[in-house]
Amino acid sequence: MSGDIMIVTNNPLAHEQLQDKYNVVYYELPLNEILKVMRDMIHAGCHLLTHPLSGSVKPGETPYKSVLMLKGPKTQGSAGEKGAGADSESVKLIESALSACEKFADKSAGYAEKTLKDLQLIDLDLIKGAIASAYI
Amino acid sequence: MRLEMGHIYIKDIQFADSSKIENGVLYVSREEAAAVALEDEKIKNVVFDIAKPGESVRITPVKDVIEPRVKVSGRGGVFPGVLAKVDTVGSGTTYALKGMAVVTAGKIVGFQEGIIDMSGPGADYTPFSKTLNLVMVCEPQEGLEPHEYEAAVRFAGFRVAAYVGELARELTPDETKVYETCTIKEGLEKYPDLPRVAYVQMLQSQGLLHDTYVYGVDAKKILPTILSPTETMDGAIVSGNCVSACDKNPTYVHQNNPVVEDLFAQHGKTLNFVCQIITNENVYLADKMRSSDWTAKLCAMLDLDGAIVSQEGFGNPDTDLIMNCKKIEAEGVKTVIITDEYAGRDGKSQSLADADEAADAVITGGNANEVVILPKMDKVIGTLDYVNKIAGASEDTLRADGSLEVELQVITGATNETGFNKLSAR
Repeated sequence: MSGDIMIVTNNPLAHEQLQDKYNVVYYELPLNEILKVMRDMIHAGCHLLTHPLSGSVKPGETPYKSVLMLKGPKTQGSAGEKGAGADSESVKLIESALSACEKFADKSAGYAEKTLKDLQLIDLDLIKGAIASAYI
Repeated sequence: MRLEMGHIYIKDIQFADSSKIENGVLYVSREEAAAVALEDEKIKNVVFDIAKPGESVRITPVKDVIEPRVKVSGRGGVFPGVLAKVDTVGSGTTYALKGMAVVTAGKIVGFQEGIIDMSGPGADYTPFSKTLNLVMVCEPQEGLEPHEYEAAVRFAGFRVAAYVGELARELTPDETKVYETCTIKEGLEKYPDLPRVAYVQMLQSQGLLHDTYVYGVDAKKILPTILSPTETMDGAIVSGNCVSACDKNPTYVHQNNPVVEDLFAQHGKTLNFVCQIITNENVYLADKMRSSDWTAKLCAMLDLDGAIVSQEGFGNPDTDLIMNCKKIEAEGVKTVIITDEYAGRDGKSQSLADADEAADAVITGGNANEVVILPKMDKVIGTLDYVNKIAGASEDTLRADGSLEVELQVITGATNETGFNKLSAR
């Protein structure tokens, strides 16, 4: 795959299944926290390639989110540097995703392992569809 | 294209030794219907039940709702490219069993949504509390992956609906409605002074459990294209969508899309209903760009004056909706968009995940976060096991007295974004 494209995820199944073939950045974090990591990466120059509210399983119902991101020049040069180079469309999408999260109560705490696996599978399938579209 | 829809009104459904329709009563042989459902070995078992309006019955989790049809003349068959061989539908004669539906229910994944209450306050929020429902609860073979099972239940529902529809082939319809579309040239000549309007339908197409099929093709793989609206009425679009119960379009909604119905009612009177444009709602942002570019381009090439755009689902599709709206308006074509809202339980939050000043004519299907109490029902078809896991439910969902405290999102069709719902503003 292109070395400039990465998968940012908190989904352990996506990490497990995709890490050998793709550049996967995995964090074991709750949904709103992984979205904040994505936001910070955008401000460091990355571009979103997929929608951060992918899927109609609402925030709070699913604890998992995977996105495709394109490393921007800032990220490749001096990772972590904020400000210049932030893609305005990506900023808008991630901010609206964070706002949307606040509207939904977190119901995922009591999920059975099987339910969590199903939610991981759905998130994985959605990102695989995007990977197919991206031809990576 | 000219489509005659013959309506056969079903007044009751009963189980019997053999299946038939007589004097408006549908008699269903459980054995025969089960044999149709079990043609696919991925389904281990199926249980049929009947739910009637006014009964103390809750159906959950609902997957799809389908209107039984039979194609009696003209090209194609029922669900072309899915059950019948691929052929262009939308002309000839089709009979529809009105007042009833086939409902597929049962667990697909470990969390699931979709409630139809046949009575009580919940019934006021779903259009499918008003239909006589032949419900089929399927059980998968052990070890089947969710996507294989989703497809198996989807096809089983279509097969049973087609089996029931076939019983009407030799009947005489109670009512016949005729829908006729013009070619582009005919429309210009016949209605030179009427505004040219198209219906832009956005189809859910994000991936597993979020799919729609057009003549059997996964909608995420299509480029936006044009259809005669009679094709949609005749079963060209079917649902593979299992999530977002309140604002997904079950197959029944595609077959009876109220935007299509209402535009036909005005065709030749106040507007010229030029065509239907279908587009998708993909996850990959470049797909969104491509699809919205193409949709706007088609609107411009068709010399439209106006477009009505309907959405399906929440969040990610909000972005497609606004992209479509902005780009179509930029071509000089006026738009009206139909959506629903996730405005928080108090209704005070931002309703959509995206917005633009071009979206200055918006119709809402309602606030999906609104809380309702659904009283305990005497009978449950399906299972309540997953009710705590469905969209809009919480740990407190199942209360001590057996009632449910849920958001409108869990109710099938409650905030449908084609207007196929019961909510309205006062």
